[in-house]
Amino acid sequence: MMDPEKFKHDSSRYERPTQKFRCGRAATWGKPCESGPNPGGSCGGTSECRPAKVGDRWECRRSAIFGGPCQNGPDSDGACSCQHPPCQPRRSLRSMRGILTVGAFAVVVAIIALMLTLDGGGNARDAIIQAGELTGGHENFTAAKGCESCHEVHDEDAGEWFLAAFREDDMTEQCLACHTFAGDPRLGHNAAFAAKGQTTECVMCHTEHQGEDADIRHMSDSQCNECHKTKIDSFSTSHPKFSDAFPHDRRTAVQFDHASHLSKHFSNQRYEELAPEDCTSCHSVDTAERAVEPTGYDEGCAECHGAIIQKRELVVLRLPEFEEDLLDGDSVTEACGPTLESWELLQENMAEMTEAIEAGDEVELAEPEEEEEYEAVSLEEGDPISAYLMGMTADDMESYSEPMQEFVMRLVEEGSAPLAELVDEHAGEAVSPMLLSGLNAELVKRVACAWAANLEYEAPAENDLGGWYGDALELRYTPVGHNDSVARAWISFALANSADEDDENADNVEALQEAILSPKEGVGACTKCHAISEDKDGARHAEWRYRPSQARPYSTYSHGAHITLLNREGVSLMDPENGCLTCHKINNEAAYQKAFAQSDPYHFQSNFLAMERETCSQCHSDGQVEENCQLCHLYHAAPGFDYWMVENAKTEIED
Amino acid sequence: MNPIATRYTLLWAAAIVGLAVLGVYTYLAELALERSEFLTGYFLFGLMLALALFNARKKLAMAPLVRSAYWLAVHVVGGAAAVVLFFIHAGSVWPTGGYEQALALVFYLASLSGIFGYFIQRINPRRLVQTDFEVIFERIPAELAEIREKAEAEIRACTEETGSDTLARHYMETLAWYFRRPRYFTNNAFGGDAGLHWLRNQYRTVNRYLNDSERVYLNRVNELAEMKAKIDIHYACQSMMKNWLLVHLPLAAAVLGLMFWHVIVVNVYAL
Repeated sequence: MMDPEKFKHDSSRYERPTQKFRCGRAATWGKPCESGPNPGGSCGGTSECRPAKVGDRWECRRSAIFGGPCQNGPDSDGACSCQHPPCQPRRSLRSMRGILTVGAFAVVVAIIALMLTLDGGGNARDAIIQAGELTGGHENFTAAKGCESCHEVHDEDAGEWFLAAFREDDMTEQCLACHTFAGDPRLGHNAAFAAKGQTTECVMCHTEHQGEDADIRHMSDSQCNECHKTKIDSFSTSHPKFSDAFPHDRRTAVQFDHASHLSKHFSNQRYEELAPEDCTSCHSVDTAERAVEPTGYDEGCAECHGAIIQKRELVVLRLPEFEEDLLDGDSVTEACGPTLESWELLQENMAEMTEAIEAGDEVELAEPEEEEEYEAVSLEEGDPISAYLMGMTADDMESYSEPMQEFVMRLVEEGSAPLAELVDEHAGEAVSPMLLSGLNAELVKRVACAWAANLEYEAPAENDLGGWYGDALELRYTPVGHNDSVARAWISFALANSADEDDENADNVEALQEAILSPKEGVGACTKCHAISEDKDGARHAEWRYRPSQARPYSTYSHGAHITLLNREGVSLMDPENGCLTCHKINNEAAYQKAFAQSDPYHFQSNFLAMERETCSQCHSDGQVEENCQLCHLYHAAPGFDYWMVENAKTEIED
Repeated sequence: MNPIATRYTLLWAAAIVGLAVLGVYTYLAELALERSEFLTGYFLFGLMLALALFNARKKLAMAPLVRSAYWLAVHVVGGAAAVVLFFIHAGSVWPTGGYEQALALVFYLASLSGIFGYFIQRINPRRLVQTDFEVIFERIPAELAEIREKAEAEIRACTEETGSDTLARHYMETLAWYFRRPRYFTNNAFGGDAGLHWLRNQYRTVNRYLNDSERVYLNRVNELAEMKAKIDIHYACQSMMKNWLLVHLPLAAAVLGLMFWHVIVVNVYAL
């Protein structure tokens, strides 16, 4: 226990721990003096007391704690006679705490101030402002401009900088300098349907400065459920059923009946060797994401279907039958030169003249035979294309004789130009460079000259290579191969023309379309495979290329990732249990081809049975492969990048 | 339940409720794609200022600002709550930015030093009571000096009375070291008994060389040494109870400094 005697006023000095200094002797474990340090930190114990003058005498004032008044008493000048060498007072604990505390705060402030000014606002400043490294992509694209790529610029204005603390800063605009979306970037899912009266900002989901490898795109399923009315606990248990034709939303661009090919054609002995080995022979699955683009015509179709293309010809002009010859023979001769018949007559006259002159006889020139009654070389009707172009009735000789012969005369004089004028005029734009691509004006003139002379055109050689050629009474075009641009252009031309029933040219339009688009003959055979579809505006067009599905823009899928799971241990991809058919089950009952007889692409039956959620949930379920929303769904609509990024990168490199 | 337990129970309950509310708010805000960091950050900011005010309150002993014991309770519970709130606010144990890492590091050190101090304040007073002796910390040097003087006086008396210098030489060679200043600090700080053990050793060592009259002096010196051992325990325990603040307060001040800058930067660039 504490000895209470020791705390009496005459046996215990009063401790003052709140003072800044303490006795240096005590600090070195010696006996502390009575007085203790002076407030300024100097030793206050060099003398044992401070004598007091009483009357004319100095009296010792040493305290009882230190033995009371000393024997010697004060000196005559009032100084204490018990002097000691001074100690070095030490700071008290409280004082040390204060110094360290204030010092720590000051050091922090000093370091911040130093970092702000150290290298003129460079890396040091960034070190105390940046909340962390940017993700790799953002780090690259912001390297040139630094923080101001995204953040507001305050220059050197400290006041402006400070005031910015009280202003809201929406960085979405800066994000949109590089990122593009199919819809309004400030709406949920970039689409109006998701708008709930609240706009979004990029930083609501994408929090940067979390490190180079941070996943700033992650969203939890709970976050999806927050807005979506249909709450989904997990894909395998509560995801809505897939749509009836899933994943197809429209018919294919190219009519390829998987059912008939697989069940009939590929097993046909004639084509057995040409048949593909498995699905990947025609579909590049390994690197495919959602859409699996077919390998294309050359690799997938040409072997069986290649030979037929060059047999599908287009008759652009045909010389019809005329009742009378309305053409001016002299003009024709002037434009075309003499005909073979008149040339032979001239030769004959020359020979006779020479003989007569040599014999001294009178020269008698052979008179041209009197014109026989006109008999047209052609007994054909006009072709639908020229009938359409010239607005005449192909089987009404009276209506077309004059305009057609005038047209032939123009062809004689101007080559292919009148034909080009006509197609451009009907198309309302310059389509002739495509429609008449490769058509030689000289060929047209020669053909026209023959026709003007009421003769059949005799081609100098067989047309083995394809392209434009004249054949007796016709100007024809033979496609040079698949994807022939002229054939495509004529099909587009035919599709672009339409006429109402009461239109006087309606019959010609119908005849034109029948002639060009008929899958049974001519270049219309293209449409046997390439679907003719109507777009939203009602315009019809041929689908020349593979068309990835535009439906479900917020869904994603990787065929590449899944194909690696198949065909393990040498199982064929055609194996119904382990190959592609695991998911893509052929529907042999579907009226697949029937859908192509009409032009609504959304009225269709798929070649494949609709996929079911259960197929996916065989693997994607609790405890197996992950099944979170973001695995299959995207938040943004068609996210992309602005070309500015490339330009910016280029400028940086040049600089 | 005693008033102190009631006080702490209520404060803990309030802290848990408050943290739960903020935790739920953070969760819901995250679901709604809203940013909860600002609210939790300002709560943390306010809490840190409130914790810092405890030190100011101690300096304003004259002001009627509720009893310091209440402030202490608030400081202890608030400090623990601040650590949890820090996790809620930061969303992780360790942030990614260099500056934020420095802030987190200093915050953790300040928190750890606070937790250490709290336990020291809870444990050491009991140990001091167990010594059955009281001494004011600031007076320990004087007490040691006095004990040392008494011990040396006993040795001198022994030499003069018995004419033997055995005890004097023993003192000079061993006990003088012991009496010179507090010994076995670390051992005493952690509740050890090394000082007394050393003393008993020295006592047994010299005791067999002394005659009866010398043993009387040895026993008196030993009593003084045992007294000094208790003072050593007081010194070690009270030092820890005071010195942890030498770490905690500067760290807390540094946290405040770093926190102010963090608040400014966040408001300038992230709001």
